[in-house]
Amino acid sequence: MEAWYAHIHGSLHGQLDAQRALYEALAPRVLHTCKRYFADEADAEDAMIRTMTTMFQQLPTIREPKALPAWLRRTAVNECLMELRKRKTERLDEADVPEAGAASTDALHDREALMSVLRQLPDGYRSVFNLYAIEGYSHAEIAEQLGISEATSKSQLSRARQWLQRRLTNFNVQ
Amino acid sequence: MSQKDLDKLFRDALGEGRAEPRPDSWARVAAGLPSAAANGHAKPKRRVLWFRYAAVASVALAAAGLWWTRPSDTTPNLSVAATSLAHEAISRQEASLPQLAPTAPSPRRSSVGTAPERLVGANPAALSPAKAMPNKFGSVRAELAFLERMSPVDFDERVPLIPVRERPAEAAAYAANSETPRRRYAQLASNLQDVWSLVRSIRESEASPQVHVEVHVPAAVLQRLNQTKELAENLTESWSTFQSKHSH
Repeated sequence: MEAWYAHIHGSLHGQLDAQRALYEALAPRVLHTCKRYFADEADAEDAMIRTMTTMFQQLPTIREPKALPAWLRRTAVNECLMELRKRKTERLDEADVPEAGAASTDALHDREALMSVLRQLPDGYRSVFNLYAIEGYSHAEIAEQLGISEATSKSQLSRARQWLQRRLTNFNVQ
Repeated sequence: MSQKDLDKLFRDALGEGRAEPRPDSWARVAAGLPSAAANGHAKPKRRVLWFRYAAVASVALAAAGLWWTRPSDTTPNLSVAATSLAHEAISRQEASLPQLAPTAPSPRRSSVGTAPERLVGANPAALSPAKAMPNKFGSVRAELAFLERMSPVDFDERVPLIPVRERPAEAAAYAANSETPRRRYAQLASNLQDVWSLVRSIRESEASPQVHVEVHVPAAVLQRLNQTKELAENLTESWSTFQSKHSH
């Protein structure tokens, strides 16, 4: 049983201190998820805030505290995708993808560095790679989520991988 | 690095993690919360005069209920004849029988009466004058409106259709008006079912009294009844039972 379970009851009764405690326990996880989908820190922060607000509104409907982290993650991903759809993310051709140049650090296994590399991808590639490689979605699910065809999902994943491979190769990581 | 390795590298590193929000983020989240929660105190709620709405709703419901249950010409009447039929009378009046139910388009009729007998099933004196009326058989037909489902026992008590062993009995159920309100169809079907049940119990009694059943249901009503599957099945079963016994 995680410590933040204890704050759910108070949050349901509108106790501000309990709500804040719950926020402080869960918001970092949500922000981490959101950062994977946006290049800009502020965009990720906005998505996190919308997710947390939704969580407090929907909290009475969530019966099992154990289910809350998974629910939050799904909601966060949906919030990010919704925002990206609003922007009508352009699908880039190979020529439009920025060159995979040198990174600012050699510590590629460092989470921050990998996060930095991932966030340099174009939005479309990054969304597909996130959903497939990290969230575990199928191409059919990704196609439905993003409103694209499965073939597009597969090609964008392939290009994202190639780009990341080149990026990692530049750091002599095999 | 293979594609799988690449995916695994990112999944392991970034699948789970924490990123500290900016300090002012909580204020933005709190601003989106309901005011009572965000401010830490609840504003006095505006008093809602709910009882006024409740009173209006109650009156409306009562009016609707009265309208729905209002007595009208369309109320289905089930006429249960509790008579012993005189075979001669049947033979004599066979031609005029289809008009038993005025609006019934095709009344079914079968008779298993075998010998002239005097009227024994119903006592006209036992019925209220308003509910007793002579029929073309020269017997007394008890006209009753069943608005609630009746168990065979209640049926027995209230309707002079008495399973007296040595007396043949006749039961006839009518739904004289095809304009029966929709809600009453289920009621009518269950009442018919009661008739069938009682008739069957009579027929299965040791004395095996002969039972005559008439059902006069306008085609439109029967069609509506059949739309209710369960009730239709009950009717079908009972009717089949009767028919099979009758054929023997």
